[in-house]
Amino acid sequence: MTGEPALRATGLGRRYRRNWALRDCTLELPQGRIIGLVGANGAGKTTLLHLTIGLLKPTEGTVTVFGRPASVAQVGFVAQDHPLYSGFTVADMIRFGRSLNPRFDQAGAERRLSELDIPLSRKAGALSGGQQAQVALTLALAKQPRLLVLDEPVASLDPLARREVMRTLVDAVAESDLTVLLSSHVVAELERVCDHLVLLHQGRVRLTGDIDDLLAGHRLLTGPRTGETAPGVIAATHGERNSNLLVRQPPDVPAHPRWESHPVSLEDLVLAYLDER
Amino acid sequence: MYWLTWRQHRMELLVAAGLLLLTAVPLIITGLTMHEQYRADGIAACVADPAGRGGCGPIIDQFVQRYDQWAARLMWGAFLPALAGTFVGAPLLAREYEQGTWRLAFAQSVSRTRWLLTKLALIGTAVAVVGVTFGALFSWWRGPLDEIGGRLGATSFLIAAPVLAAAGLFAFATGVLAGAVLRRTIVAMAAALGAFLAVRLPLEEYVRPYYQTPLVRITDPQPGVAAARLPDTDWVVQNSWVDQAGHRLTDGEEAAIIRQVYGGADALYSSDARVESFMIDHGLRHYTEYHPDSSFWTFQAIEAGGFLALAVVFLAAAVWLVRRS
Amino acid sequence: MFAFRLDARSGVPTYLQLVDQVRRGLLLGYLVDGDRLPTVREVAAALVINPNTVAKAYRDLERAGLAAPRAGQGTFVVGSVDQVPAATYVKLSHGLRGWLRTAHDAGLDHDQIRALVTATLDDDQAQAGAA
Repeated sequence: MTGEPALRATGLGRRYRRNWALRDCTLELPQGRIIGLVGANGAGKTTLLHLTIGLLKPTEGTVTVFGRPASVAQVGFVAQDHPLYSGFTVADMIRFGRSLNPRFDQAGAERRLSELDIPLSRKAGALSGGQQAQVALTLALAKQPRLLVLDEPVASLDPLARREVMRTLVDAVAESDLTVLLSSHVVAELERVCDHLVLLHQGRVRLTGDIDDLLAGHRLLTGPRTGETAPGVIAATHGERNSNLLVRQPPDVPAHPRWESHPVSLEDLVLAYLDER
Repeated sequence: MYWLTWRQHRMELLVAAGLLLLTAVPLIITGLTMHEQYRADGIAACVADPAGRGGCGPIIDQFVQRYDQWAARLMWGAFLPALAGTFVGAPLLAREYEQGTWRLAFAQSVSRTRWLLTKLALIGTAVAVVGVTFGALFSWWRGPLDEIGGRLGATSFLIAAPVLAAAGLFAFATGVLAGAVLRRTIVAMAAALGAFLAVRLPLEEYVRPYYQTPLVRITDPQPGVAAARLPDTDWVVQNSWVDQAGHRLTDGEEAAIIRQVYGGADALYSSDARVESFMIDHGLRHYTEYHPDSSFWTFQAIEAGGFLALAVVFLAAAVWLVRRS
Repeated sequence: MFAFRLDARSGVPTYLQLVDQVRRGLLLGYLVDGDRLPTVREVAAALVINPNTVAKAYRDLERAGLAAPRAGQGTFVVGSVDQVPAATYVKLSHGLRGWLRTAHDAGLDHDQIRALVTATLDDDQAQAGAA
């Protein structure tokens, strides 16, 4: 494993007609991690992911994957709503993958699908949502990529299917040195599985970093309401006589005695940054 | 890519093959009968002998009339290219975009350019082969009728192999481009059909007669011959009168004379015996622009070449559009 | 094989929960010296968590001397022989809960209680050492 970041974006931007879906995106994402990309709908997540894998061309800036320009061959991708050819059988979909990818592990794909009890003869359109997601994921993994990119892979799935897809994902990561970049607009499902975060808001990167570091570097301060604030306030809610402040503070700096300090949850952190104007 | 192209488009190929079979069986049966009759009844010999042609009139008319209905049905063959555009070309890209599977297809190790070019090459070849096959079948069937009436008329020209295949490719290319631009299947299908007709129909009326400069023939009016409808393999593109000084009469002047001859009633055909007499009396002669039947292959080459050139341009545009995003 | 679990709502980092469960397992006899812990892959798949988190927990256990890797065979428990019998554990746990209630009623929060316990333990150890 070389030291190259899995993804490096420099001033990356993409415009559609008059609107910038993504702007000034500069990021370095480390190898071997499961990286969560969060943001509201329309924040630019899909645009960033499509630029990463070369499905879209940037309007400005550059993006490289393991030091090389974004290319469809190196990266596995599962698009939003995991599209498949609904008239194809599962076996046809595997053949499809084999036809279009020289490094395709057909045996591995078939083994994984049989472990999941997904019959090869069933038409893709007749599969349940969770099964379709599993087939799409299996196809992407069979390419044996170094980076796997998933656009809201579990958004439309029931809780059981969601858990199973994530299980397939972490199992694949444990099996090989795979880097994963997945987007979601639901923070809770990322918290379990991701160790690195990118937060997009209105087309720009607001926050990025190792999740443990981010959580250690922020805290929730509660105390009496005064005119003063603590430094580094990201978000604040005020009652008549009390305030709650979410602040960015290095972990070794002690909080002022007036404030009670509490750890911040990932969800609170993300919401605070999304709310920022 | 070969398997994938087959798997995604096998229905279209099977339908085309089915259509070919459905068409071929009755055509071969009736065609064999017609060819046999043409030869056995001596019509072939009659037509081949230019001197005796005048006397063949009645049996030729009878023969042509007998197969008139079938010949008319064959005209529908001219619509086959439109099918290639609407049902094969338009969905090719439109469906991928509309159903979102482009995000699957273009995210594999094969570049989208190679994906598209391979599909276009394979399916385009199939369209051409089907077109040539249908065209050969139609032209074979029409053999006797073409010997009688020439091949440059629309009923024969449109369904001959080169033009049929090239028109099919042009329609296919129009469909593919419509799909690349519009990205919605039904809309692309309608646009492909519309664009194809928009090119095809004016071609008939306004362009084809002028692929080459027509030959000119001036003939004297002949009152004795009824309707002067000798079977002729020439393709007449212009029919008018010239006066003694060599000036061509306008349509208005012609119409005025006809009204004068018939006392107000309009005549459809300007070579009736009474009109002929009038022409003799006033020194008018027939002026005809025409193309001889021997120009057939040249005309086929010109029209097919034009369609092919357009097809190449449209396909290149489609590839450029797909690469651009 | 030892079964881990995850309390997603507890606010305690995942890797700490795993380390804790191994400690408690040793204490209660669910894990004995020489037991093989499940592989990183098995734990990640069972709990649906990041394999790096499991790896971190195992590293912590190794550092604390509670587990040791054996080349090509996995990670094995290095346990203390003395463990608390379950009945004793339950009785002591019950008594401790009662004391905690008293402390809460007196107005101490968790940090203060922890500080009190640590101070008392240190004191006790110092006395035992002096004796």
